[in-house]
Amino acid sequence: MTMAKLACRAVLLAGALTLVGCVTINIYFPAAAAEKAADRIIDEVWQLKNGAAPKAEEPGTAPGDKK
Amino acid sequence: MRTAIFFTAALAALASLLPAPALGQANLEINTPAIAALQRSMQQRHSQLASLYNSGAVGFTRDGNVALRDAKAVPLAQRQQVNALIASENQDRAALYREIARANGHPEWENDIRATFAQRWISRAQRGWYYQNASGAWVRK
Amino acid sequence: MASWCAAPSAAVELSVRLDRLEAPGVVAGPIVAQLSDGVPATLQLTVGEVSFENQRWRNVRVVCADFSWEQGRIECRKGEADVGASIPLSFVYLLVDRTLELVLRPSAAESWTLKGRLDERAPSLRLEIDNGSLSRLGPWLPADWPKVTAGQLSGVVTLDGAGRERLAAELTVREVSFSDASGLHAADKLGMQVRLAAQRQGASWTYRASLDWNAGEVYWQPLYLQGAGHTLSADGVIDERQISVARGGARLAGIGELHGSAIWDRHSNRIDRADVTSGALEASQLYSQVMKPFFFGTALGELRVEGKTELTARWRDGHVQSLEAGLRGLSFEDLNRRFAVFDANGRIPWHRSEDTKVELEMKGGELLRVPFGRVKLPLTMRGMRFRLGTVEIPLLDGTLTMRGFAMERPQEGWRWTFRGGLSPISMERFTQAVGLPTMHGTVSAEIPRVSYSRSTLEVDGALLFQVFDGTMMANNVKLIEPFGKAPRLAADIEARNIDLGLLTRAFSFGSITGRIDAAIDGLELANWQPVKFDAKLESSAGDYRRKISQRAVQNITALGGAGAAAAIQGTFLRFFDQFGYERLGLSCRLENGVCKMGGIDDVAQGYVIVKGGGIPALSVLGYNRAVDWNELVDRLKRVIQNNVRMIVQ
Repeated sequence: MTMAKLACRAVLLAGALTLVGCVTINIYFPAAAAEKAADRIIDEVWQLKNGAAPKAEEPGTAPGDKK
Repeated sequence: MRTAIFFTAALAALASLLPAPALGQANLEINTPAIAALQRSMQQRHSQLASLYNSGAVGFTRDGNVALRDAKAVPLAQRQQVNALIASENQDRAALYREIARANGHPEWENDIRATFAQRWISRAQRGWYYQNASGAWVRK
Repeated sequence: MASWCAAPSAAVELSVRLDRLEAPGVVAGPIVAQLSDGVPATLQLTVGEVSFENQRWRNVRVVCADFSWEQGRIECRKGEADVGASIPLSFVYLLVDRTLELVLRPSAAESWTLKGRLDERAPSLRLEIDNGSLSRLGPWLPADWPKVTAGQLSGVVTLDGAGRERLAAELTVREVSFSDASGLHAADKLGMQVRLAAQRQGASWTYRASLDWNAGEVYWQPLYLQGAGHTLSADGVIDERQISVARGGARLAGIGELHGSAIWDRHSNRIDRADVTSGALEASQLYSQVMKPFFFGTALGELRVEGKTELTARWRDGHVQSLEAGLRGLSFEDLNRRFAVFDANGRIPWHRSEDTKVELEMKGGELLRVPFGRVKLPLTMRGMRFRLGTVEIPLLDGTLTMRGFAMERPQEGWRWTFRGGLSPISMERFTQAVGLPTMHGTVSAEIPRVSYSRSTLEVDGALLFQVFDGTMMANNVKLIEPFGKAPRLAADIEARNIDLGLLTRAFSFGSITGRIDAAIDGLELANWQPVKFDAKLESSAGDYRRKISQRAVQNITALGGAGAAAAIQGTFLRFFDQFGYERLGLSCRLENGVCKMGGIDDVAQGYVIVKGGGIPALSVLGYNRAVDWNELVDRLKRVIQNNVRMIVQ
């Protein structure tokens, strides 16, 4: 997004000479940053900070047998 | 005769407060009170959900939620409670995705955030946990 | 109906073949019986195919290892039937009386005994079941029913008469478990007693039935119930078109009794019409056992309920047409303490398409921890539209007035609106009620149109408060998901002539005498904590006493860290309790966790927070313009806490 703004400014500066207008620039979704944010939150929620497996407390549910 | 005492003291207030570290451009803002509150709430719930993930009763859906996969892995008397747990977890997740989008000034990103999370929950899930693949079928990791 | 053809074969054998046997509901054939004349004689019966109702068995074999036929008495001892599994059996048939006694013993403790008189004029059948395994009934049940995996059945079923048959059954089931594939409709260790009496009249049956459920548990999504002695009873008529319950009753242990009538249409598979009336029901059990799971995830999902209620419901053409709830001393309280209603009494009638008027009065309640007093609700309803006349709610020592409340539920969810006002209430009582530090003065408010739709609450116009002897105005107030986990509030706030004395006393911050004006633009709270605002506060214009206490100065400086706090102690200023000032002010623009600070004036490398005046004059300057918001709040909290034991030397 910041990149987009910078690009826009650069185009404006050049605009005086080249008569290229600043077209609306879409702000793309920052997928990599979102992934990083998701991972940080998942670490927090699952308590994975030390790489430890999340501790399953016994809430009275019997771990059923798996297929 | 009175003596006038005139004194101006300049005290340096707020001098040593640290300025906040500049935010990295590449990060999304996730340190807001709302996100923190949701995170706490989900963290508290996780100990209960983890054993349901382990037993295969609950799995991860492709839209960033959790869902009941096999009620039979849960004793009868607790199935209702598991349903309530799933409902609250999904409510928190929806609020979390929305809050992250809003905290970054782009409410319209909500669905992208949800999609990102959907994929991260699944790829960070432990071996043995279940998730829905692209066609909606349950797969064991 | 049947053709016999005896085929003579070896001298010791008799073979009989029956091509096809038909009886009501049963078709069997071909049947081949082979009798061998040994000692004892043996009979072997094979049936190509038997079908009964929708069930089909192929190659059914019955072998009698000890068979006799003498003097009109046919007897099979040590028999065995092979219908996939082998079942030991025996039977006796008396030709003259036309009576049959058939005993099946699928396992040691289990027996099914069929006694019948196959007399055409007065036939009778009696089935005695002792410890019958219910899982055997599996194939007989509709395919979309949950599968029975365990359980025993004992009891007697009789069928008598021709033309006007009488059916009677008295059955006990024990330890029954069933489950569908998803596990969402399942039961475990059920124990029940069922009694049924029915009589046929033409194509219809008149019946009377009852069921006592006294053990086990059922999960029928989303309900979970335990067999704690619930009973059901019904009588009525079943015919090809419908099942009618003329008189039905349910006694739910711990909850209460229900009575009613209903008609189930067998073609459309739905309830055509039903009327249900309850006695006084225990609201706490009704909520926790029946209603709660339907409210998961809503504001009503976690309540503590007390009192009694009576319900009447009328169902017509597949819809609830009317409902009426009578409340008797009903109280409910949100476990998250967002709201509560105490001792509500009255009648709430509701009709799908007619206006109804509620008579309801509550002794009091709580909203966001603020208690309110006796309220009468002049509510009218029609379908999903609700309207309320002017309501005056006693709130602490004042009154909250709501005018023109209207609520409806179109497609996108609940929507409501109202206007109102708050006559002065004591800040002291209000702050204590909501758990804030005690503040003084009064607060009153003018509430313009407030509306709620699409999970957002909006105020059109300015909310006006009289507080701390000044005025406060909130514009553009918007509350997103007020009932959600993380409500968001947006507003612009403007305050005039706030008495700093009243304000600072509340926070034991040290006293500042004087008045301020404040403007907080673009305030955004998430989960009730600020995430963004542009705030500016400054001494109000006008003539008034301007004093700041030693302690307040120390506290402002203590925000800058321990070193700064000590500074004042080193000078003679410590001998003064308070100082005069000319002006004070502070601004903070909060964004991304950082507060950009400023004061009333700029000085070299800093800004003025308090500009001294009088004797002795003392100014407080700030130097840091970017401050971490959380750190600032932490220090503020610490300062306020430490003040309890702060000593000025």
